[in-house]
Amino acid sequence: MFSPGLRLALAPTIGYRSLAAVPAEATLRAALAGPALTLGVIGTLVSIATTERLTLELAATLGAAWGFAVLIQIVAAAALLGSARPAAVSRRRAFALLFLGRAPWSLWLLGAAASAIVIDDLALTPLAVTMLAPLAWTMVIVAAFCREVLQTSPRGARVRAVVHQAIVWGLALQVAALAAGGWNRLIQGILTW
Amino acid sequence: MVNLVRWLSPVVLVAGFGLGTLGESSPAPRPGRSAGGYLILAADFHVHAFPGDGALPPWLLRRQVERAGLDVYTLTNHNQVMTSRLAGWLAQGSPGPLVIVGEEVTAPRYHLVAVGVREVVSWEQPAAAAVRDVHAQGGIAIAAHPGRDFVSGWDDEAVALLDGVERAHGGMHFDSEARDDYADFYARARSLNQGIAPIGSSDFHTTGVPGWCRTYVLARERTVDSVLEAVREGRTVAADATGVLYGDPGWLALVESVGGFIPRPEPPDRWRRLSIACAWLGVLGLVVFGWRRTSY
Repeated sequence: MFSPGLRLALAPTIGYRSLAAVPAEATLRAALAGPALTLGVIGTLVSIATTERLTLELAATLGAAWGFAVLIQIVAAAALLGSARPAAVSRRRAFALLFLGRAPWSLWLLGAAASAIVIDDLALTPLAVTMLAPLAWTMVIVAAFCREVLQTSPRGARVRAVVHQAIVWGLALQVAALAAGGWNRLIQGILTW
Repeated sequence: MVNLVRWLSPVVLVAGFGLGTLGESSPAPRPGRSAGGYLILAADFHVHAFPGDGALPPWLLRRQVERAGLDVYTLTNHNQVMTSRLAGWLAQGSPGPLVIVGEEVTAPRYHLVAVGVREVVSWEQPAAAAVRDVHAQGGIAIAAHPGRDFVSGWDDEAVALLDGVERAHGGMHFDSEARDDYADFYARARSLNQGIAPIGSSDFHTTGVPGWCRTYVLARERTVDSVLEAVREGRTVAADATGVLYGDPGWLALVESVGGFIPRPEPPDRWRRLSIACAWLGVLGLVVFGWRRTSY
C-alpha cells in the first residue's frame, strides 16, 4: 500500500532485509534518483514555506540553493559505504537503498511547509525542536541499513549510525555557523534556547 | 484506490506547478506617498538572505520585498557583506526597491544593524567602536532587537552614538517581554539622544514576510543617500505588524495624514492557494504512496 520509502521507515529491518535479498543492480540513474528527488522535494517545499508561492523557477532556484543539504547527505553516505563493503549488493545499489530512508525528513518538511502556510507568525524554535523526531527515526533506519545491507554486527551498525549522523549534523552545523556569523554566535543561540 | 492516488499524485503536483507558474504576475506598481515636502518610503533595514541564514537568494528576496510593498531594504547577514553586496550589484540600474548594502554585526552581547557599509564591521570590539566603524564608512548604525539577551553590550556611550533603534521588530509579536524590552531601550536611547530614529524591522529569515514590521522614512528623494540622511536626522516612523506606529508625534502625524500603516498590498489569490495545495498534496501522495507499484 505505502511507498517503498515509507514502508522502509515503518519497518526498517524487514524492509532493508527484503531489498538486500533482491538480486537487482542499480543503474546510475536509479542511484541518482534519490538525491534528485530530495532536491525536488526541498525546492518545492522551501518555495511554499518561504514565499507562499510556487513556480518552476522558484523551486529550481531554491532546490539548487539548498542543494548543500543533499551534498552533506552524499558525503555522509560515502563515509558510511566506505566503512564496510556491502556483501550482498553493489555500492551503487547500497547508495540508492540508503537514500530510500529519507521518508522521515520528507514528512517533516511537509509538516513544516504546512505550518508556515497556516500559522502567520510561526516561531522557529518549536519547529526546530520537532526535528528531533526525524533525526531519531533516521538513526534507526541507518542502523537497520548497516545491519541488513552492509551486514555489520548490531553494535557496528549502531556505531556507524551514530557516526553517520555525527557527520551529517557536524557539517550542517558548520554551514549554520558560517551563516549565523560564527561558532560563538551559533553556540550562544543554542544556549539561549 | 491506492493506485488511483499513485496515479493522481504526480498529476496534482504538476498541476500545482502549472497553476503557480502560469498565475505568476509581477507586483503591481504602487503610487508613491508624500507629505510635508517628503517622500514617505516604506523600508525594512533588517532582512537576511542566502548564502547566509536567510532562505531566499538575493534576486528572489528582492521580488518578495517588492511584493511586500517596500521601497527600500537592507540585506543584513550576520558578520558578512558578501551576499548584500551581491544583492546591490544585481539591483543596479533595474527598477524596483532600492537595495542598501549592510551587515548585522553579531557580537555575544549586542547586535548592530549596519546600513550603507561596504566592508565588514568587526564584531570583536565593543559596541561603541563598532558604531564608529559604521559611521567611518558613511553608514548608519541601528541597535537590533535590543531585548534582554542582546542589551548588555549597549553602554551609554554606544547608545548615544546610535542613529536608530529597532522599536518594532518581529520578535515583539512572539514575546511580551521583548515588547517591553524594546520600549524600555527606545526610551533609554531617547533620553541619551533625543533625535534617535525609531526603526521597524522584520528580521526576515525563512518564514513570514519582509516588511512585516517596517519603517516609514521621510526622505527628500528616492535615493540611498537621502534615506540614510533621513535616518540620521530621525525622520522615521516605526510600524509593528499590527499597524501601531511609533515615533515623533510630528512625523507620525505626517505619515498618518497619507494613510498611515499600509499592510502588504497583495490580496489573497485563490489560484496561488490552489497551486500550493495541489503541490503539497502531490508531494504528500508521492511520499506516502509512491508513484508506481513497487514490491520488495
